[in-house]
This record gives sequence, C-alpha cells and structure tokens, in this order.
Amino acid sequence: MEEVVGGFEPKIVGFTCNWCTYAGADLAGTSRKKYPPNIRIIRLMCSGRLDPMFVLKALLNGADGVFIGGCHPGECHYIKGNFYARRRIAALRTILKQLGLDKRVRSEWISASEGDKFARTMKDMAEEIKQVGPNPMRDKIL
Amino acid sequence: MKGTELNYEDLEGFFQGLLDNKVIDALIMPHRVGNKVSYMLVRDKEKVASPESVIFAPSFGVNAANVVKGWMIDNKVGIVAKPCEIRAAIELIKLKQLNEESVLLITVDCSGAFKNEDYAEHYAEIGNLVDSAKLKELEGKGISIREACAICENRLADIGDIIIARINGKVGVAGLTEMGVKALSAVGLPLEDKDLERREEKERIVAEARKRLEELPKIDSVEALEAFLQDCIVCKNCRDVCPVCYCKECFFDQPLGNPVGGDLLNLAELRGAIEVPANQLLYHLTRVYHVCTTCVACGACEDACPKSIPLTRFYPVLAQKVQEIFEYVPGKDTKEPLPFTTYEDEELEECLR
Amino acid sequence: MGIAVIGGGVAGITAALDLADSGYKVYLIEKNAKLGGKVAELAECETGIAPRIVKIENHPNIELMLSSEVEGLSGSAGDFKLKVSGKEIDVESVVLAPGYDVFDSIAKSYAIGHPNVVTALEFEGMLRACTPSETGQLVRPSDGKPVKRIGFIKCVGSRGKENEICSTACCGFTAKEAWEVKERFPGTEVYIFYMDIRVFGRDEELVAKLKDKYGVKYIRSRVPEVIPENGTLTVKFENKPLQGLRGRGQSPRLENGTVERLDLDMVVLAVGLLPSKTLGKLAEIMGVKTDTYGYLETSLTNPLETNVPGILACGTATAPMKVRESVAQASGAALKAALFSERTELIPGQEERKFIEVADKPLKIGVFICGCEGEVAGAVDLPAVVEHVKHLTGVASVNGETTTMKEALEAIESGIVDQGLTRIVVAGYSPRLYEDLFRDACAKAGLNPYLLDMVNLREQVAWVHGKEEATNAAISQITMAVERARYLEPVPIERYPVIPKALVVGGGVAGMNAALEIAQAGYEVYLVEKEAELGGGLRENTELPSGESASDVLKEFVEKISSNEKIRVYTGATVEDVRGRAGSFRARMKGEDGGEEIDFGAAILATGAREFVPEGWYGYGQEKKVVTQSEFEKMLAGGHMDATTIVMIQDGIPGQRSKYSGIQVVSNALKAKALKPDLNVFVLYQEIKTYGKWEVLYKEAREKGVIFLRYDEGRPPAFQEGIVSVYDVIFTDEIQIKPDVVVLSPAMLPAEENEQLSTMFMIPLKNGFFLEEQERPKLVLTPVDTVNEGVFICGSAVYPAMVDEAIAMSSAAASRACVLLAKNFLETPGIVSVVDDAICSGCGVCVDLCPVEAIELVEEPVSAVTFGVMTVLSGKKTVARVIEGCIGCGSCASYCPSGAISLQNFKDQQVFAQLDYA
Ligand SMILES: Cc1cc2nc3c(=O)[nH]c(=O)nc-3n(C[C@H](O)[C@H](O)[C@H](O)COP(=O)(O)OP(=O)(O)OC[C@H]3O[C@@H](n4cnc5c(N)ncnc54)[C@H](O)[C@@H]3O)c2cc1C
Ligand code: SF4
Ligand code: SF4
Ligand code: SF4
Ligand code: SF4
Ligand code: SF4
Ligand code: FES
Repeated sequence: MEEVVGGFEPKIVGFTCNWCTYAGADLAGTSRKKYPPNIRIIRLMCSGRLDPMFVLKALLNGADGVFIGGCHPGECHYIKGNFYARRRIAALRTILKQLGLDKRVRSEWISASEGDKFARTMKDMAEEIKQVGPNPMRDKIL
Repeated sequence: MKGTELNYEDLEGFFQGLLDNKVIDALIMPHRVGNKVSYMLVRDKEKVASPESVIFAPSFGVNAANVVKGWMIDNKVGIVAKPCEIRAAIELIKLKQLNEESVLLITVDCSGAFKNEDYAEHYAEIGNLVDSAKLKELEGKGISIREACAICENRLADIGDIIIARINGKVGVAGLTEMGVKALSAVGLPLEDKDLERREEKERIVAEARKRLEELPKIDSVEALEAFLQDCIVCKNCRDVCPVCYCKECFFDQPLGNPVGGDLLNLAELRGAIEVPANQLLYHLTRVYHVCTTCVACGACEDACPKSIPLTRFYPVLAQKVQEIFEYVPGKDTKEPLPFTTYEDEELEECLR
Repeated sequence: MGIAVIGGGVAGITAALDLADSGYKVYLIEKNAKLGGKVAELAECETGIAPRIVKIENHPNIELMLSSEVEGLSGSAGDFKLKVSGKEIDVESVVLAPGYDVFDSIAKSYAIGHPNVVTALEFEGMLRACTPSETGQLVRPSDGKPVKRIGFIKCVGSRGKENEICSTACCGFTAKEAWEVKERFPGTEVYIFYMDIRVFGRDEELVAKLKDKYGVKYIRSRVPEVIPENGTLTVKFENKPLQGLRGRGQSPRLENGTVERLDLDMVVLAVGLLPSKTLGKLAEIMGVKTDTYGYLETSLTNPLETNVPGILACGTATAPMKVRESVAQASGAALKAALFSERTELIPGQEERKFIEVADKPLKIGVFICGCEGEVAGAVDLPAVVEHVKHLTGVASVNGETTTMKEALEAIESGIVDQGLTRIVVAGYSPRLYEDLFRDACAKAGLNPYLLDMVNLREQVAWVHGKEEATNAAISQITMAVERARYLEPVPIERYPVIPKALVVGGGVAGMNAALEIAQAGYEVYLVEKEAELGGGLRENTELPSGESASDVLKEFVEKISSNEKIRVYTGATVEDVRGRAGSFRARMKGEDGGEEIDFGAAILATGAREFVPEGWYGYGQEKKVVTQSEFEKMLAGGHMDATTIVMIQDGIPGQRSKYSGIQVVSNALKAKALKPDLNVFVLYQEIKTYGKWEVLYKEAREKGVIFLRYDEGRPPAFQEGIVSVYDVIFTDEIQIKPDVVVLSPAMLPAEENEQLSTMFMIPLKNGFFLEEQERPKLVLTPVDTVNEGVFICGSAVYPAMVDEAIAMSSAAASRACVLLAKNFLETPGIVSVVDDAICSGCGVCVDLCPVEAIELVEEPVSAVTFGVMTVLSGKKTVARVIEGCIGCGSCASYCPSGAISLQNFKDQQVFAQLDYA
C-alpha cells in the first residue's frame, strides 16, 4: 500500500453543470489558474441531470473521487435543478457514508465567476483523495 | 380518531359486513391453510372464516402491497395487512401504482413475524397470537422473528384508513381517514372518540428496535460490502418481491443495466476482465438508492433471497439514515410528498462534502 | 442601404449584432485595429465578448471597418452619406458608440510616474493572466516583491475641479478589483479610500461582502497625496472613527480625527471616466450636440436620441456607466436606428435544413483537434494526442492541423461532405461559448447538429496543466468524447413559425416604452397592466428630476399608446397559465376581459418596483410630520412651505433603495430651499449616491446651505418626542434637531406578482427582482435577456432604476424581442426529454419534478384485441408524455429509476460511455 500512496495520482471524475461550474472551470482556465490534472470533466446541462447512479458507476469503474459541481442554490439556470440535485446527492452520500465511501464524493456550488474556487476545489479534492487513498475497486474484476 | 372496541370473534362479522354492504368489492386478507398463513383475495363473504385466528398470526410471506401493485382498477379492494405492508401501499399510492380511491387500507397490529416457513414449521409452539413475552421465550428456544421485524419501530397499527389494534384481550377498531370512518359506520359499528395511539408502548418498541439495530453487524467498508454480497447470483429476486421497486421494466433488465453479448465483450476488453453476471454491485447500490426514501423495511427482500443473504442489513438499514435526513417516514400519509419531489431553499449542505 | 455603428466597444458590438441578426446591413466602424474597446483591457480574461467578436467576423450582414474613422456626413435620416477613411457609404441611420477615455491629467501629488502607482485601468492589465506573457501576479512593479498592502484611492479625476461629475463606474470596479485581489492573493491587505460608496444592487452586496468577509478596509477620506519613501508609498489621511475600522481585529488602531499615515506597497488610482478625446470632433462631424461635460447630449426621457433624427447614441459616450448600462443602451439604440431603415438582408439560420440519414451508415467519427492559434498546440503534445486518438474504435479520421476556428469549421464541413463523417468530435474551444457555431457548421454540411461533441482543451486543459499532464488529460478527455459520440443520436429538429406579436407585462414607463417601440417596429403588442390605469410609478411622481412634469410625460405616453393601433391594452388584467416557448407562447388573460387567450412570440416583463411603506419607522404612520420623500415631493408641488426645519433621513430604513433615491433627496432639498431660502434642511445620511451628472445637484445643495450630516453605520438617528437626535461623525458629537417635517427614504420592494411570473415564465428571482441570463458580477453583457429565450426583463423589475435607465433598458428589451420576432421560423430545441411508453410505469414523479410543467400523464389504450371487424380494448395504461416547453434540465431523467424518460443528447448510455473511459 505505502508505495502506492507515494506515487498515487487519483483519478477524479467531475460532473459539472454547463452554466455555472463548467463556466467556472473555463474561467479558471482563462485566468491561468493551475490545478492538478486529476479531473476528467463530464459536462451536464444542469446538476439536475446528475443521476446518482452515475456516481456509483464512476466509483465502481475505479474512480478515486467523484466531484459534482452546480450553480449556487437559487441560481440554477433551470431554477430547481440544483435543489433536486442537493437532495439526491445528500441521499447518496448518506448511503455511501455508511459504506465508508462518502469521502470520495464531494459537491460544491461554483458559479461562473468563481474560477478561483474551481481551481481551489480541484486542488483540495486531489489532496483529500490522496489522503483517502486509491479506490479499492480500481484493480478489481467487477 | 373514531372507533370502537370489539371482541376477537366479532371480526368475522365486521369483514363480512364490509363486503356485504358494498363498502368494498373484494378483500385481500390472510387466511390459514393448515399450519401455513397466506393471502387470499375474497369476493364471497362466506370465505371469510375466523379471521381473528389468522390476521394477527406472526408470519410473513409476501408483502401484500407487492401483490396489488399496479392494479389501477376502479373496483374497491380492502387490504388487511401488517403496518409495513400498508406503508408500502401508501408509498405506492404516491407513486400512482395504486389508486387511493380504490383501496381501503386496514392495518393490523403486528408483534413481529417469523418467516412464513419458520412459522409453519413451529406453528405448534407459536400459535395464532404472540406477545413480547412469548417472543422472548421462543427466542430462547432458537425460534426468532425476522431481523427486519426485530428492528421494526412501527409495529403498532397507526396508518391506513382503518386500524385494528390489540388491546387487553379485545380489539380496537378505528377509522383514521374519512373513508375509514365511513366504512366503519356503513357496517353499523357504534363509533365514539377513541385513543389508540398507545404512546408508551410505542416508545418501548422503538427503544427495543433501536437496540437491536445497533447490535446488527455493519457493512462499513467496500471489503465488507463485497463479503456481504459475495454469494449474490444477481437473480434479482430481492427486487421482484420489493413492494416499492415499481418499475415496469427495471433498469437492470435493460441493455445498459444488464449488458450481455457484444456490450459485455467491449467492457471486458476495456478492463481486461469483467465479472459475470455483470453489474452485481451497481445493481445493489443503485437499487438501495432507488428505494432509499420509500423502503418500508419489510424485509421481503431478505426472505426472498435464495442465497440467504441477510439483506435487511443492507436495504432497510441504509435507507433508514436517508429517511432521517429528510425527516421522512415512508407510508405515513398519502398526502406527504416524496422527498425527491420537494426541497427547502436552505438545507442539507452538511451532507454534500 | 444600411446602418452605421460607430465604435467597436462592447456597446457598438452589441448594437451591430442586434441589427445584423434582424436582417439589417451593418457597417461597424472602429478606429482601432481590433474590436472590444475598453472591455478588452479589463482584468477579466473571459469577458464574454470573444464569441460576439467571432460572430461579427463571420456575420454575412456586417461589414467590419477596422482602423477606420468617420470623416464626414451629409444627408439626413433615411439617406445619410458617411465618409469613412476615404470611402463613402450610404446609410439610413447611425448609432454612435465611441466610448470613453480615462482621466489622465493626474495631479503630481499622487506620485504618478512612480512604478508602484498605477491607474485602475493599468491595474486591470496587471491582474490579467490571459496569455502567458501577462503574469497575473501581484508584485510591485518597482522591484518584483510581493504586494503586502495595497491602497485604492477613489474619485481621482472625478467629483472635483477637473471633472465635476461622478464617474459612476469606479465605485463598482474598485470593489471588483479589491475582490479580485482578495480572492487571488488572500494575504494582501486592502485599503480603499473613498468619499461615498455609490454602488447599487449586486455591487452593494459585493461591498458588504468585502467589508465583512474579506476584511477589506474602507476608509472614508479624500487622500490628497501619495509620498514615495524608501521603497514604500505613504498616504496620509484624516481619520474619522468609522465603523469599518473600529475594533476590527488586525487593523491598525486609529485615533479619532487625527491625521494618520499608512505605508503601502502599491497604490491604485481609480481614475474617472471622461468623454473620449475624439468625441468632440466626431460630434462636430455628425452635427450632434454635446452637453456641458462633453458627453453626447441626450435627455432623461429620451436617453438614446441625439438632436439629429436618425443619429442615436449609446454607451459611455452619453455618460459614464458600467457595461450593463452600456449594453442596454446599445440594444435600445439599435432598435431605434432600425426604425429608419429598410431590412435588406437575410436573417442567418432561417433556411430549412435537411440532414443526411445516419442510422444506416457505418459509424465514422471525425476528430478535429484545433491548435487554437498556438494556445493548445503550445501546451499539449498534439502529435502524440493525434497518434493515440487515431487508434480508437470508430474513429475514421483525426485532424490535428487546424490552428484557427475558421479553419476548424471549414475542415469539419469538408470532412462531413467529402469523407462522409457521421459523428464529429471537436477538441479545442469551450462548448459553452462555441457549441452553437460548431453545430451550425455540422448542420450546414448536412449532419444533424447533435451528432457533435466538444472537448475543451484550451480553458480546461492547456491553460491549467503542465505539458505532459495536459497531454494525458487531453487524450483522456478526447477518448471520453469519442465514446460519447459513438452513442450520439440524431435529434429530430422541427421548424415552427414565429408569432410576430409581443406581450408586455406592466404598464409603467418601461412597459409603455417597450410596447411603443415594438409597435413602431411593426409588430402587434399586448400591453397588460394590473391596475385600472397605465402609468405605474409615474402616477406617484409629480416632477421628474429633469424638471419635466410626470403627468405630462405620462400623458404623452398614454396618447401615443392609445393612438397606436398595433397596441392592445388590457388594464385591470393579469396573465395566467403561460405555455410554449420562444416564438410561440400562449397565455390566458385574467381580469375584465376574462379568460381570453393570447398568442405571442416574445414577452417582456416590466412589473416595476414599489415603495416599502415604512410603517412604524421613525413614527411613520403615527406622526403626521413624518413622511416619505415621494409624499414630500407632492407637498413641494403645492408650491408653499410652512416649515422652518426639515430633517431628511437617508439610509435609515434597511433594504435596497432606488438609484433615484439619492437624487430625490438632493433635488427635494433644493426644491424646498427654492420655495423658502431660509429653510433649515438637514440631511442625515450614510451615502449620498448622486452618481454621474447628478453629482452637480449634490454640490449645488451644499452650496445652497443644505446641511449634510453623516452618521455612523451602527448609530442611526432617532426620532423621539419631536426631537431628532443623531451622532455626527464629523463633529463627533450628538446633535439634536427639532424638525417640522421628517422625510424618510424607504427601500424599494419588488412587485408582488414577480413570484408568480417567475414560475410562469421560468425566470429566476434574486431578492424578488428578475435575474438576467448570465449572472456575472463583473460584466453583465445580457442585461435584459433571461434564461428563458424569448422572455425579456426591464426597468425596475430588474433593480430599482432611474427613469432614463428604465427607458433605455426597455428599449433594449424591445430590441431583443424584435430580433426574435424578425425571424419567420425557429427550430425546436434538441436537448429535450422523451418518454419510452413501453417502460414508463406512470408514477408521475417526473411530472412533479419538471420546473416548467412540460410533462403530463396521459392514458393510453393497451393491447387491442381484434375480433373480425370489431376492436376490443383490453385496458389502458397511464404514461408520461413530454409536451411543449421542455427546457432540458434533465431533472426528470435523473429521477426516473428505470430510465423511461431520458434527456436527448444526455442519455444514460452517453454518460455511461464517458464513464467507462474516464
Ligand atoms: C479600470 C476600469 C474598470 C472597469 N471595470 C468594469 C467592470 O468591472 N464592470 C463594468 O460593468 N464596467 C467596468 N468598467 C466600465 C466599462 O469599461 C465601460 O462601461 C465599457 O467599456 C463601455 O463600453 P463602450 O462600448 O461604451 O465604450 P468603449 O469600451 O470605450 O468602446 C468604444 C470604442 O469606440 C471606438 N471609437 C471611439 N471613437 C471612435 C470613432 N470616432 N470612430 C470609430 N471608433 C471609435 C474606440 O476605439 C472603442 O473601441 C471599467 C472601467 C474602467 C476604467
Ligand atoms: S427494499 Fe426490502 S425491506 Fe425495503 S421495501 Fe423493499 S423488500 Fe421491503
Ligand atoms: S432497482 Fe430501480 S430500476 Fe429496478 S425496479 Fe427497482 S426502482 Fe426500478
Ligand atoms: S435475491 Fe439474493 S441472490 Fe438474488 S439478487 Fe438479491 S441478493 Fe442477489
Ligand atoms: S417517465 Fe419515469 S418518472 Fe415519469 S412517470 Fe414514467 S416511470 Fe415515472
Ligand atoms: S428535462 Fe427538465 S424541463 Fe424537460 S421535461 Fe424533464 S424536467 Fe421538464
Ligand atoms: S444549471 Fe447549474 S445547477 Fe442547474
């Protein structure tokens, strides 16, 4: 295990809504904010499209972390999407928590103007997941 | 609530009256075949015989709600069942898999139940009716109620249209809804204000149930989860018997959820090797998410598992914590919205990261 | 002929696009070699204008004239001849958008010339990090050492001898720059020296956040000089005990009323905005008048018109303002200019599109990796990426050669036409900004536009990772996109006709003006007002700050409206039950005309704002002598003044005040003084926000002897037993006044019906006011557009605005609506949900979830059994069906456990494919 942790580069799957967090990621880019390259972004139009099953699938596929980004509550482009998402994520994480998996899943509300927050979150999350360690599913035959 | 007290023997007349007075067109209720208890769908009132000997029998076979799921009929059916089954029916009403107007939900007190096969086997010792003292005694002999029942906090009938409660050698019958009260008057029961809440008893049951829940082994890591499911053959019986798995075609019966052939070969190519039948973990994790707000903790899934996996430790136990964050108890009230259909402007931030 | 737009800043760009998109020929004349104006110099790299510039460069209706200047004008409205850099062009009308220049005769005392003293605009440049050559670091230019303490000095070159007026934008941009510093360099101490904080709406929230959350120190003091000393810059300022400083943690403890000094590493001078230096010459050529301050002259009720018919003005050439206002004016001016012109061009995207059938064709994925002018090529090992992607299953060709967007677009078109590609993956640009462009390219070549996927290599890979990491990330993200592309399906697209009518909700100034302009543009308008009469806030006012009588203005509007046969007015009415989408809405009217259904293509919400009734505040409602400013204005209109002492309390009541509020205070004070010169008028205040040219009123009021007493934020004045007592921070003493009249400035509240309209029209609210499409705290480029295409917002329904602003915004909303109504057809959106009847169990949860009520449950017969000629239905089932109006949020699809309802273009399988390869 130790050797793995040393050189361990977590793989993080990120679901971002088009209007806020994806835009925030764009802004992080235009402002040249470097952040660790662990994230693989999947663009959804709204966090309301985040089916928690996607998160489960990502974890079972071996993702070390899953990030979910949406607009701040009350600022969803579709008004209600992130309110629903919040309930779904809360439910999912409550399940995962009991299975000791919740630390791999994190969500943040990041607006189009929060490029810094996006970069910071990516940094923090990469660190956190390094602490948590590699997803044991990674090398399993599943 | 409005209700009255009856003797056990009066129940026969009461159920027959419901059919007789056309309050309902049919009745689903337990009946006895030798040692065994199962459900029957009755249209001829004469077939209702000595219900007092069977409706409280501590035996669980199928969840009655699962039997009527999807019956979007105009006729009216009465359902006499245990609290967890009626709760499931109420969730199904919210999910439009049952028509609220065409069911009369009659909840009976439950003392905790044995698996139907255990019950039949030990009928001589168990009998028609048990109480907590009796259950302890049986447990001493190695005859235990189902795990789901041991951790059940909702054994006292307190939901549905009508409740049938066991009180001091008698039964209390009361209507909780307008429809229930009407039904009771229609059969000519003299109604008065009746308090069947039994708060103290409830608290005692809850305390006991929580204690038992604490004692259950936890599935608290990926390794534990894998070990727990290691024997699962993905037969999906647990889903088929689940009252709140209401899909016409389950995701895991569709190509994406149940990849076969070429799709599976592609996945195997990508990952080098893949477990078959595929998606075992995804199936269970997704299903527990799908039922996390509506699971009524009936334990039917566990009973149905051909591999004797103690699924109560998974489905109801994981779901309960979710229900806690939404302060939601499934099956309380048909008018209460499903947690996933509403939200508060400010909530749950502490659960997100 | 056509229309000339002069100035290629954000205002000019906006005007040009609105016109070109509705079929007018546009000449866009810019004296510099590139478009963008000042916005291109701001710190924010992604201002949102880049896609607009690309659009302009590719627009068939726009003739772009860069490095060009106007040399002469002859003719008149409808037939101008314009001489531009030697060429002559014929136009029917002209939009002037030549912008501003920043104040540059900065006093020596500010140590200007010292490398660590910069102007705000230079500072914006320092903060930029858009290209590697721009550092984006916060270091002292003199020695490259990190900046630990930075000070902003506001109002340099504004509100003084050199420039009387307030530059309006600086309070906001200083706050923004401070925020940027705090966000990016959190350890930096930030000090802001100011006279008043004149921010409104969202900027108010920002300032509050800066003070409370970011620990930015706001110091109210006019700093006269900056003294360079041993490598630092020392500022001296007179300190008054200010809330922001007292007892707040780490701040240096400052004494009462003493002169303080502070050593700073850097000083930013928030220089004012002035009319562009060449504006005078341009005005002369065009024959338009300028005002006392050198801006193009317009009026309060005609904020976009110059004295010459057919020549419109907008943006910072008319007054100092922020982007939000400039852009709104630009859209409005565009529509006004269009009224003089004939539509001669085609509107892009109106032709019917036919797509090749791909279902029976083998999968041929074309991957186009664009170097993005070196941005991607320089940061990613493109050959390695190409090599890897080539081998992915289904990939028929990989193109890694293109370097510009134009090349990429052309390569895609030819790839589809010549190589028969059936799926396209573009790696390079952000889909958020350019997806439409690339979709159009696919469609043009005959491929269904939803068979496209995009990977953002520039913003999300090249610019944020080192080369090796970027290359790996690029490979992964492209692989994911290729896998997704494999499962993309052609989405059926239908054309539907646009109903050339508009609905305007709210009959105040904004609503009336919008209705009139749309009608003048030739479309029918339904104008709905819930009260029995038109007028809204105008009916409450007596006199506008320009001196015009409110009732005269109102009368003129009402006359014009009633004589316009294109406008149908419904008073005492509200709208209910709105259905449909951009171009084709239907609503039911409620009210006297009850139940009537109306169809329209665009809607404008102009419900205004209402004054909070300050019941109980300072005895209002109990004491007769306590009145609001509006009530006081009516008293003044009576023409005599009995009182001897008047106290006005500004900011005493919490909430969002109108932009008009500060102006109303000084103008009422002046009016009162005019009626009775020896009257004592005290104004107790926190901020007097006489922004822009209204600053002169403030100055005049002080000169005329109105006494302004500033109180401490934590110690608001009290009014008890007939005595107003207030602790004045300048005299540092408790002052007691016995007034005859106490005048309050209550906050403005959003219209009550906004809640309901918000749900019906799907427009989010912020604090009860409508929210514009993109909430960018820095630059608002779409001030009147909303998230729901076809629905526009304006006037005080967006924030409590000033009359001229409300009118400009309403012209903008009218203009945006007309751009839409000018189209004959629109296409149905592709990202919508569909239900698979065979799987749906009819639970109806999706129906409850849908934010726009686009799903309903329907009953369908099942398994029909046929006996000879007779068909017997054996039953029915309930299933969900997506009806009109789905906006594609996917909330339904993410619930439905069996996936019976799915969101096209974002189906489970498409996401799964990406996950498998992530
Ligand atoms: C330091 C600073 C920071 C700012 N930050 C913000 C902010 O955060 N948010 C915000 O909303 N606003 C901000 N502003 C204000 C913002 O810059 C203006 O509102 C906006 O740029 C106005 O756009 P415009 O098109 O009217 O003028 P400009 O941007 O000045 O564009 C005018 C264009 O016209 C051209 N032109 C001029 N004369 C002629 C002519 N005779 N012929 C042809 N072309 C001509 C010019 O070359 C220029 O390209 C800031 C301003 C400053 C100084
Ligand atoms: S998941 Fe199991 S315990 Fe829960 S409702 Fe379904 S069958 Fe009953
Ligand atoms: S597991 Fe999920 S998809 Fe399958 S039947 Fe249950 S709820 Fe439906
Ligand atoms: S019933 Fe048992 S074996 Fe079958 S899928 Fe469920 S857990 Fe697995
Ligand atoms: S589409 Fe899904 S959520 Fe909607 S009614 Fe059908 S089963 Fe329920
Ligand atoms: S995608 Fe959103 S808007 Fe469309 S039908 Fe589903 S819930 Fe409604
Ligand atoms: S659009 Fe961002 S969360 Fe809905």
